[in-house]
Amino acid sequence: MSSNKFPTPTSVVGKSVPRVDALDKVLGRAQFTADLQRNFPGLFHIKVLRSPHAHARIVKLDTSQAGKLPGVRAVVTGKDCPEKVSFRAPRILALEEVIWAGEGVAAVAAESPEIAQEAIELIQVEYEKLPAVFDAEEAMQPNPPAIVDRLLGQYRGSPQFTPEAPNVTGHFKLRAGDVEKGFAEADIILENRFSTSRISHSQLEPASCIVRAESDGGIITWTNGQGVYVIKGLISDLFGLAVGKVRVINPYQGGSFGSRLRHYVEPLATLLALKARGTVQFTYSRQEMYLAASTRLPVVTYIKTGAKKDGTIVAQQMKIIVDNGASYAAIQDGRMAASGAVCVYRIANFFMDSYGVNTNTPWAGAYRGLGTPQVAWAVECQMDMLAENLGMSPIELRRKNVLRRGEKNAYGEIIESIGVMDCLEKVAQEIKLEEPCVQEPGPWRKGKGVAMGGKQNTPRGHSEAEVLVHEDGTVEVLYSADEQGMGSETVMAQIAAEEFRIPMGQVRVRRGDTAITPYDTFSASSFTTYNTGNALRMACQDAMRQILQAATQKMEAPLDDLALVNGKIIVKGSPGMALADLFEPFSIFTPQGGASLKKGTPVRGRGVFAPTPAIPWDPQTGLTPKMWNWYQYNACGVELVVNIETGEIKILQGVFAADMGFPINPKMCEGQIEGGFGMAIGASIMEEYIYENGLMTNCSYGDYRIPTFREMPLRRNVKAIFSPDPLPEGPWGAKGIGEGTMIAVAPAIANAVYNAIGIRIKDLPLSAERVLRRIKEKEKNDQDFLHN
Amino acid sequence: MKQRKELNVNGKIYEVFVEPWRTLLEVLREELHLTGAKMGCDDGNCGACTVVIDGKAIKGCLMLVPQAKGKKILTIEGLGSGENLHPLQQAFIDHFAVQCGFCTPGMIMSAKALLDEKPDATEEEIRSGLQGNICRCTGYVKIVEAVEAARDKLAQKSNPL
Amino acid sequence: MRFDFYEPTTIGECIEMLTHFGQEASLLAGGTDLLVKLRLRHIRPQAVISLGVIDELKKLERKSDGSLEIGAMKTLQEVESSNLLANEFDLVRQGAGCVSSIQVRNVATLGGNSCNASPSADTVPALIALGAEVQIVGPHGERHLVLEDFFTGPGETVLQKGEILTEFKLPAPSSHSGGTYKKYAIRGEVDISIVGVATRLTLDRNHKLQEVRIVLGGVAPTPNRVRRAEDMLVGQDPREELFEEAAQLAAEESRPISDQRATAQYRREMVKVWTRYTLQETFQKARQNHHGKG
Repeated sequence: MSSNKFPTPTSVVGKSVPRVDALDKVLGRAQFTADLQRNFPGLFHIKVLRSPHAHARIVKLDTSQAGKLPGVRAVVTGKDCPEKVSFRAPRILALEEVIWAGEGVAAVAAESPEIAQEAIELIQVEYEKLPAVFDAEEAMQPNPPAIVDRLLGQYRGSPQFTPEAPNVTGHFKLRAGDVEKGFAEADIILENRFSTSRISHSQLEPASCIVRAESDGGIITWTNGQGVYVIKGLISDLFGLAVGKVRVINPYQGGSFGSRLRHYVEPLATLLALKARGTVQFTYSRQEMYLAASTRLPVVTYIKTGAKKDGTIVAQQMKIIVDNGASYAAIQDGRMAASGAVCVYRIANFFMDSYGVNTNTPWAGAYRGLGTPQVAWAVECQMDMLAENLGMSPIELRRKNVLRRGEKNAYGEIIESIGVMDCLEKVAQEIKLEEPCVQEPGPWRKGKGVAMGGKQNTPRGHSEAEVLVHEDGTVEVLYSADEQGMGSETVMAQIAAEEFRIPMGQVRVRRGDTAITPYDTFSASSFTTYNTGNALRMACQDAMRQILQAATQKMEAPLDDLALVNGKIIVKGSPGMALADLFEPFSIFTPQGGASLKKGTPVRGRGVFAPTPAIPWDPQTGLTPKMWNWYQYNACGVELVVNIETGEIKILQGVFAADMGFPINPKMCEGQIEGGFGMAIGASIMEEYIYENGLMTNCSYGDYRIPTFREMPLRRNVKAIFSPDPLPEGPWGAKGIGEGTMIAVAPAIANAVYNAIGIRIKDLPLSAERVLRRIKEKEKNDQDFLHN
Repeated sequence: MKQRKELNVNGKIYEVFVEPWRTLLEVLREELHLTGAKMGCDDGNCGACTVVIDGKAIKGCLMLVPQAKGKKILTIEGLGSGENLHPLQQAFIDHFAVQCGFCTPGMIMSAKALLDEKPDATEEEIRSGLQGNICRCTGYVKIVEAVEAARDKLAQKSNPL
Repeated sequence: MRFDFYEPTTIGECIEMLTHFGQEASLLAGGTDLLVKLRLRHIRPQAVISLGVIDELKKLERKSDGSLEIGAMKTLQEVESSNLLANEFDLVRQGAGCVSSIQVRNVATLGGNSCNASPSADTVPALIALGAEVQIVGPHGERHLVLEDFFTGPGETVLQKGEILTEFKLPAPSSHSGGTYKKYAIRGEVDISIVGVATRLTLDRNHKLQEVRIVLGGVAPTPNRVRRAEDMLVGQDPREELFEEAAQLAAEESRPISDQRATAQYRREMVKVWTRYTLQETFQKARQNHHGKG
């Protein structure tokens, strides 16, 4: 890579060039997985029978009638599934017990979706209901009302599994400094409990895959699941298939937000494709997307903070309980979520216990920030409450305690890029936090609030990229990270165009096919620009080196004097030559080996990037000089109104500042900010799973309320600000942005609600019902107070 | 059970042989291979399957194929081509109103029907007119921006001064 | 979902088919609710009979006596944008205009919104407030009844075997009146109502409340009038405290349930709030009409 710390981009990097996938998408030509079904006449369709009970023993399961229905090709139950359980996927079908309402019990592949559905209805199943546990705090007790999964410890082989707390899946401890001493020095101690609801990613495109069983025993899978190589590994491992005979292809993905990181359709489809010896398609219904896809981890956070009169935080103690739901696989040990409390403030004395716990509720996992927004929700509300108690401005309190570049956080990491305070200062200024709101007559009360946050980047796996440089100067980029909408294809095209100094139109991106594109993990932890982008820069430079090497002979110039710019080899002090002239035509008289470039044969450049690995932490203290890789930061300010008669909240204005490092494509960064802000409005004021006996009752887009146009402020009232602190090893100083954009929104909204009506709500969402209930309670308390 | 139906889609007459319980969305996608309209929920909430019938936006998953008989159906595939984009398509590209792209065809078709009906639609009218289309990626900001830009472009075209 | 599809061209033909299939048939108006029920297999009819090409069901006429007749197959969008329904009948436009999304309103019909018999149908409270009558045609001829009596429970109506609802008749309203429908839902029109309130007030010569209708949707098995609240207001001088009292009575008379959209307690509270809002707004309208027309 270049030796400059921040090489200045000169052509397209840093510019808002149009997305390379936009044309196909506005024409309706972009191919999503379900769009490919038309290519497979004779395709079998899969439907699943799901449990209505949260916890039950399967007493009887009779699929014989279903199997006899004409048009049914294959029927499977838990007994047909591989015994192996993977960390990457939920259990394919229940075996002896169902552990959440919505778990699959049996599945059918049939000639049409109608026949498959009819077959499902012919399956007879008898359940014996068992006690269930829905509350994580109850579930984590030594004698819980139910054990979610008796086999959990055995399946996981986890060193953290203890028979004494059979639903606890992990426990992360942080012991920094001396918390007792810290609290003893504190002038004020504040203790609170916060919680967040279970929410759904609700990405527009349902999970979908097509699996074709090949004659040689291998399979080809087209899927919108994330990470083609991860799926390849998962499927070959689960089914004992030769790795070389599993091919995974990834069309466009209609959103993910973390949902597609666990693979809930591919394993069952593979099972049925192998059994049917044909091609099957499995697409979740929207109802299944709520009942049996990933969800966001509900988190309960207890937080106790000690501070001096001047605002200095001298001690913090936290207990974090992360609810995995009924998870066989997506196990949390609490460490990820905990990071939301560590990465922003300088807290020398920090005592924390963070737990992952299973319950009999739909399983949960990654969701735009993997637990950190849920914990930041507690921290940032706590900061405002602390500021009020101290009689300080919330900005001043944060300024006092925020981590600065070069300082150590509580893990013991030295922070090399942190723009969080600048983000907050800009947001506070833009929203005019110091100016009180002018109230109008009527039931609507205005308020403003701010918050900030950060998200760690996991140094996970490695990324590869390749470029094919053709004689006419066009470049193909080959990579395997995902394109779930965030714009990775555009960023990669920009990087290649920049490196070769060619127009964007001369770059073609090829992505996501394990038989063609090189290894990558998946797009998670906001690392695609950083991981895959760095790999691609190396690939470009590798190809460049090969080309210039060939040019040294032709042009009789030393390598250092040569450069490739827009299809032309430039030599210091000479007119240069066209790239095409380096490629020699075929002739029986020219030597075909050697260093020269051949017409029709592209130069193939290859790059591999692996982030610097973490350093194992002490399991008793959680301390390490490198827990994660880098951090993205953000701050949000909102102005809103609360209706004191209905409890409704309307967001009038939203200002969001992000430190994503250097923005490769500013408009796309804005898009991430606006999208994360919108998504967070849903999580903050509307979204939650409603259950009856553990069965979700609002499992549709009609009743699970994600934001529409109406819930967003007018467009002139949404403002995205960049406040980057570039990261030295990121491409041109880039970090990442996708996950950070929700974190500060919910606490900013709660802080604004407090500002508007003087009521502190500590549980998400701030639904109209919850807000009104609290308003009524306060009215009653105020009256009681007057009468006493 | 299967019946012969004629469908007028994007100015072409198609003859299909389908069961009457198939929805217009299914037939467009599975029989005519027009996969621009997407299935996001199949219960009329997400709007990703929006097409325009006799000038009005409808949700393809909420209409049985016999109900579309004799009507002029316009899908995203008939709106513009690569060389000749509709101003809405161009504006969606220029204003970054596209992210994952799954809602995009339906969103554009709803916006097309809206602007045909109200060429001077305000931001408020655009927001309420498109409320039946859900997007989970963009926060809608750039979609509103794009529709406003297309509106202004279309107005320029009809009053070339 | 599998069924045979029929498309009669006259009401008579339709009734014959309905009589033949009995319980095995479902009527298809716009289909925006029916298709969802079919797909979820809440119903499994053998035959679906479309009303789509029966022209008799698509009329919209103002009669010489000032009353209005609306065919059951008028789409909600047609109702919402009809000039014939401006002014006195505007309540119906308000109700039709807040059903779901424009894509649904372009297809869904006024008749379907009633026959679906959802407790939270948005056009029903408005129609009841205007005193709408329905015309029902069946194998034994025609019958008429007030819309309020049409519903017998969630998803259930008085329609007998072979009968269809063909049109709504709205009596000529007094000019000294006003009406408002308000839907309360978290995300506005795209959500199913938590509560819907239609109110209609007619003022007498002395500006006293001569006729009062308060109709609630979404808070009982069927949309219904709250008569104690109405009676309390009749003959009174309209004023703020009175509306608040009426709203309180309306809340007490409502019989909401808890479901995935709201708890019963919240619904009842919202009845109180939105009844008051609509009464206030309706009174302003009625007063303006009174002044405007002397």
